[in-house]
Amino acid sequence: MYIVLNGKKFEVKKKDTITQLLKKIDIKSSKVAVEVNKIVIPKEKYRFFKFNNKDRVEIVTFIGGG
Amino acid sequence: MRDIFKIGKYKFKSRLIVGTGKYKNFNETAKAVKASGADIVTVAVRRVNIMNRKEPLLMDYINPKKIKYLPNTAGCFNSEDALRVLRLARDSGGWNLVKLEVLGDKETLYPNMEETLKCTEVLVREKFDVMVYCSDDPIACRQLEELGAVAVMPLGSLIGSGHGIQNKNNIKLIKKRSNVPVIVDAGIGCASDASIAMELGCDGVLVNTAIAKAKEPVLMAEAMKLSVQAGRKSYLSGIMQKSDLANNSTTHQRKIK
Repeated sequence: MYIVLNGKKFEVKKKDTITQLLKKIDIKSSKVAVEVNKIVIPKEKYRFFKFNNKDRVEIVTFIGGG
Repeated sequence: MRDIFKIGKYKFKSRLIVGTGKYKNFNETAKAVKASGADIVTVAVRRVNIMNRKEPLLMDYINPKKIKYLPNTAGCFNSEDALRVLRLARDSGGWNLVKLEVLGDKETLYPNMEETLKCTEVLVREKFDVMVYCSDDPIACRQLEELGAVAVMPLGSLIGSGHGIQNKNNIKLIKKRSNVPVIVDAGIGCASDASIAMELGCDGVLVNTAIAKAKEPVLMAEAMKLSVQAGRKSYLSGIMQKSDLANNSTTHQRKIK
């Protein structure tokens, strides 16, 4: 199955959690926020949240801005 | 003299807030922020670059534990997008203090006050502490305060224009009638503009382009720090009354004849 991660198709396994995804793309949870289908997922739920096929996932961080 | 800058329940020393956009690289950003003495920096929320995870992150250069990150909604043209960004920002940083800006069009980046007011109401309900970029309109500022904004941030002139404060009377009027901090956001072009904002009685100034696009950003950052301090002290000292005619500074008594 796949999810749409930051606008692009991304293969994941059926029971993958947000924690596993972040590990796969090598980024610390403290530096990002995650939204699935336009709903923010709190950090404490990363370990339990399992993706569904075609979930739209956004992983964001802070960049320079005015 | 202790002069604490209070925004909602938060307390700061520096009255200069610095934006982190438009620098050559994060190294320069970090140096400029340090030279500015700012306690707060504005930041934007964007997608992580999944393809290139080697790309440096702002957090690696400016420690959010030492300097307060103020997430903004740059690039949002409606209330819905702004809400989405700030809900994500809150989860990323775990804090409630945010800067709302809902823009009206790409050419002027002037605030869309109808959407801004609508969004402020929702954010306050969701327990955000909202600082709001707005027009230099005393009525709009009052409405924002009534809705629960913790600070109003009227523009001095258009974002990134460097035209300074175009309507000093409005800024003065807004300050006179506000019970929340008034921070001039946008338009500051050089250090004296920041001093003028502070001498008008503003509680703080937000500067990005004037520092980032100076030939020597770190030097300008320091100049901004000093000018905000000078302007604040000048305001607190009680500025003299202007006079249309000269007043001699030296006594005429005991003049040689």
